[in-house]
Amino acid sequence: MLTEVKKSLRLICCYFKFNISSAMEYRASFLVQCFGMMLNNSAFIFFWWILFNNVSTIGGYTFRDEMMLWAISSSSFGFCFVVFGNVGNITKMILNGELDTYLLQPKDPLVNIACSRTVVSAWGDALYGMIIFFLIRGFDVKGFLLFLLFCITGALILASVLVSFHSLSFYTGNTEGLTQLAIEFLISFSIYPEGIFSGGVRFILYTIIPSAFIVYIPAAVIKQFSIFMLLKVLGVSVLWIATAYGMFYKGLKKYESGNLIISKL
Amino acid sequence: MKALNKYLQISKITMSNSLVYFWNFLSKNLFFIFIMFIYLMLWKNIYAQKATAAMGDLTLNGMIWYLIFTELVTLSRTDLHTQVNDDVKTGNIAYLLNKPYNYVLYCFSYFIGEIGTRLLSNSFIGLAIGLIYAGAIEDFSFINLPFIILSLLTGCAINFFIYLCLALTSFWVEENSAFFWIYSKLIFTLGGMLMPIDLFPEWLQSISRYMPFAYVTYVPARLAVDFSFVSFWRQFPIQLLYLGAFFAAAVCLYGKGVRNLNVNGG
Repeated sequence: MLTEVKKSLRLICCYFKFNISSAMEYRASFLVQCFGMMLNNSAFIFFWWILFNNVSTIGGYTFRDEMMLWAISSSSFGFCFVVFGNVGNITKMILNGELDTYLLQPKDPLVNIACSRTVVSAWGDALYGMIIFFLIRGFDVKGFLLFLLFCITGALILASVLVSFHSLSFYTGNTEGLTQLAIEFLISFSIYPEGIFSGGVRFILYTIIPSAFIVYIPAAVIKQFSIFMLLKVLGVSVLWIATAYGMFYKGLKKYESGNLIISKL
Repeated sequence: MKALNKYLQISKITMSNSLVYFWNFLSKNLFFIFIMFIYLMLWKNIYAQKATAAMGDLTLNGMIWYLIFTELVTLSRTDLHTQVNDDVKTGNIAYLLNKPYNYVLYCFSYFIGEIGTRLLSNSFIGLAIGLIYAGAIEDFSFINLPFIILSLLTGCAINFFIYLCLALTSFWVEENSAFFWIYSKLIFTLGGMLMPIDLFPEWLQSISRYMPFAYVTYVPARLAVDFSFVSFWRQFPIQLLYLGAFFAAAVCLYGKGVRNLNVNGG
């Protein structure tokens, strides 16, 4: 089990290096997309600045708390699509029967598929989150280490949720629309204060759309450290990874090859 | 008339095409319901916190309906600009040059076809959401409806031509996706999509009111919830002016871009 995890981590590192090299091939394009995305995200600071000019707190969150939600969600999303950039194409690959290449290689197919591409603009998201963190917390080393840890757990949960939804395509055909909705739900819930939601919606945020474990609890732990909450986030991350693995490999048994001859460069 | 007929046919074909992908179509409507739910939660909380009946002259009912109308414009937009972008980048535009139509008008006909179905379905969904979440629009009169629709359609058309202009920059700029993100965020903010510009500080309000972005979303939505003929006649001509300006800009950009075009191979 541990050897498999080590092998997968080594594969992720190799892909990461190759993906950086390939993104840097078109340096100008990389910079435009990266800074464009940062500028794009900063529009929301304006929105929240105007709102907090009218009220001091929203759902129990101050402007700084809200910006922390933004920092964590943006960097988590960024890390997810920088490292697991191909995770959004799984349904298309299942439907077109394009998984053969990955199944024939002596590496874990799910990690191999997810890491084989990077999304360049996601670098902008990752950087943006970090800048926001430093702007609101200053040079807080302990806080930043926690922030990085939560961005990694957030990215893993996000990727796992996506893999789980995409894996439904093995059973029901095209679930691209459903997965798109799931990610929009995840992102949208993650950037609004938890306090504005109540009852059934909160239950959803702690279960099927786990925004609470991606941003709300991490933001609370960075503000006021709690080992119990930290372990909760780590536990839920492991649970989501296991769910994604389980759903993908169970579904894979139903996979039908498209007999496509493709080259993977 | 014959010239118009071909553009009418393009609109008809696009309209039927957009109905073929029904589930994709429906998933966009589901997002509309979801995002309005989040806005309702957010603004309910803000109004309760502020302990006031109106913000920016809008009650909670007005605010929810305002946001429904701004979302209606932005969610009803077509993704044709990505197609135009690809056509230019891949050189596919070379095959469209010798077709017996004006490319900009072809794109506009395509937009009309798509907007017809999208706006109609989104309007029904928006109406249902509004009635369930906020109740009927306060002081609404059906006599004003044609004027509101006119302003809404003009807003959608301005939005389309701005996107088209940005897509046509691909004749000169290889990677122009950042332009779309930035423009969409200008609509979110200065366009008043996420909140009425009446809530902005005074200095920013005066800037926003001169920008074209407000005429895409803010003006039609504000007219829908707080209609007066005075504000309609003051703002609708400016909408038409912006529409004409961006149409002319798209025609100019296309004309200049095509002259610069270099296509290799076939």
